[in-house]
Amino acid sequence: MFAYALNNPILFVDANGYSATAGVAVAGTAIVAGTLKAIGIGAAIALTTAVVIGVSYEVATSPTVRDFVVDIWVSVSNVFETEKEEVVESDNIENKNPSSTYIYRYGSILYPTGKDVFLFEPTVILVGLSFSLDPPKNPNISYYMTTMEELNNSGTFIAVNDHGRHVTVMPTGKYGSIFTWYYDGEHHSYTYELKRLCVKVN
Amino acid sequence: MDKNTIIEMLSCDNAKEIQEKGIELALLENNLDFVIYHSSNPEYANNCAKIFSSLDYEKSKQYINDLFTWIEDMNNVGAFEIYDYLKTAPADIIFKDFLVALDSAEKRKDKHAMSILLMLLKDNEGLRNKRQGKTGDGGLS
Repeated sequence: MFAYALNNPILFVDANGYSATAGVAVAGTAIVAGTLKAIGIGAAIALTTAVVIGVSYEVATSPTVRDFVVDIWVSVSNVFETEKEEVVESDNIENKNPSSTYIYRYGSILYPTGKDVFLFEPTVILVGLSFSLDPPKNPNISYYMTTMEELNNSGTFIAVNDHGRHVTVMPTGKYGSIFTWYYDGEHHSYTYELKRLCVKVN
Repeated sequence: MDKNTIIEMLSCDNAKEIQEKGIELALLENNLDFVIYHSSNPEYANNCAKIFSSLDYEKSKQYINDLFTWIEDMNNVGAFEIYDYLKTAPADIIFKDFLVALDSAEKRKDKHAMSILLMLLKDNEGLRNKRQGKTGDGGLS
């Protein structure tokens, strides 16, 4: 029934009746024309299109290719989410759920920097993104806010209150290691996923 | 006292009295390199920040560049304490390292670090005057 879309009408469309293309690519055209700024994602969309159009049905529906396409789809979906990122004024934060553990990341960087990845300590300490159990003491600093429960239930991150008011957020390995996250920075799937799980507060 | 013992006392997992004793002992040391070394570890960082913020600016002079590195990411434990310390620091002592930190942040395109440094510039009047080429005494000298 959905042979025109390689039996996957969710991922693929047949806009002209001649060949199936990834729905992502169609959406990607609109994004490029509109708001997409990330060149890396543009390249990913082009690559998806090439993979889907340029190969046979068998290859296109093989598990490896499908996984690849799904991965890219997740990345692009995350870009959509990022584009829609909502910024909340600190005065407008709704009543917090008392049973949740709220954590805060100061500034606008939601990916690891050097010190989060490379440690020169003689003792073993957790490697990950630093969050705090306290909102910033300086009202001029914007921040991201989420809960430990939200992160731990996501299947993508593990949040641990390791010392005092400090919380370390580590990736589970779903999209690679913390090192790949560090090298890709803001364009890594972990960053998109974390942005989706946090609220930005000014 | 052995520096490793002092550091162990600075762990935030210890009883408050032990931590306070550790701070007291660290302040008696002339060389605080070992405190800077452990300042990136969240377990000790809060107490390391307390040590530096209770120092006389003349004594902390040699660590000012490390303190700027500390506040470049306010997620570093103790960064707010260090920020407040630098906010009231005499411009003559911190100006050179401030410019180095600002230049480095600009080169790295580190927006977070730049925003913190510019915020410090706004908060530290002496620093602001010095950057604008003023002497801080109304231009009389």
